[in-house]
Amino acid sequence: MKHVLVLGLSLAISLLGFCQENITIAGGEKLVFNASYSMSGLMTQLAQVTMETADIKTSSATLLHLKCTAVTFSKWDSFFKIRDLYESYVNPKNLKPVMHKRDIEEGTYKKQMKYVFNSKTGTVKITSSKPNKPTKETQPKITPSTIDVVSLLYQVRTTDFSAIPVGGTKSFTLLFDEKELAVNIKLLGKEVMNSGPLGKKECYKLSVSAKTDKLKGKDQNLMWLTTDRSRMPVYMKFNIPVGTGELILKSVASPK
Amino acid sequence: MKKFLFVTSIIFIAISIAFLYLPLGTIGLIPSIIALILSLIVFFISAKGEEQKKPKVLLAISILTIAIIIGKSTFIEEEIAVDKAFEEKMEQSEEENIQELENELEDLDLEGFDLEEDSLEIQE
Repeated sequence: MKHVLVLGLSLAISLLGFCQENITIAGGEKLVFNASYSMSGLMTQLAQVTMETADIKTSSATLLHLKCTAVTFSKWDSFFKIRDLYESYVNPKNLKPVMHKRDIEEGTYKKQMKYVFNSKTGTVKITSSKPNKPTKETQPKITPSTIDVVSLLYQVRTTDFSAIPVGGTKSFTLLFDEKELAVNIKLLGKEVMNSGPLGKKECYKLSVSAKTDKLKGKDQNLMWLTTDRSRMPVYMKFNIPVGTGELILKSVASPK
Repeated sequence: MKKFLFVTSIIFIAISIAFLYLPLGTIGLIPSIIALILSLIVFFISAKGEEQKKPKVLLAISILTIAIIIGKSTFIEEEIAVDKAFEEKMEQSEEENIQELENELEDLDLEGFDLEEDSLEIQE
């Protein structure tokens, strides 16, 4: 259960585009999703997932702050409370990450992780900590295109899917749980979807697969992105070893 | 047989009532529908008159639990609780992050970063 939301996010997350120029994502966007999990074949609403962006200025640069939170609906809090925070600070031009932080609290399970990407040295400084355990620090080498889970989620929206043929696949590299992971994205075609607050929209239907035992089935981890310039994620389905689930777009606040 | 079905029906009604208090949403329909079917069977195999009174009560309760479950999932909007501790944690994290970024950015390669410009074009 504790991996449900993580993997729900990871599904979306697993969709990565090339690090092309970002004209899609800007500060001030807020997307809210309802996350449901299938129990005994019936979908049950479990949590609210929020994705927010904000411009952040430091003394030397302007960065884009990407924040994803997962919070269980209040009726679940007494049984299985989730308070997950995933955030990344990226270059606003190409969404390449500078720093990524993950703070998860799922029932009694807690974990904190920090990645600081250094493209100059081709390394990432990883700091991970769990309650009652010593903090671990490592600095492995990574490929230049390796990115974190939140950046990946946003980078996929900058991908020009109109240039990819139906059935075409792209491979990407994700750093998750201190490991580099190959992720494949396949364009399955276009579908008109009921996109909640956006009404009916034409969407790209994408299938996510990765060399991991956390995603199950062939073309069973799916994501629908609107074909317009915003490439809004409107619906996601995931199939993991402990069951299936979905994320449905509930509300959108776009930057003015 | 009738007695067995009657008792089983009561058990499933008890489970469905318990599910009403648990955050299981429409999953509560499973025991409720089983209770409804069992109650119906008991009702039809009971002799008309006095003997049908108890199965009628079971039927009414199982229909009521089904109605409550459907009503709850249809009309009650799911909400998240205001969690001040989590909000404070996020604010604190942001402050810490900016401080860390100030330190880290000195060592990082800032090539390609826009140091002055205010972000990007805005989407539609």
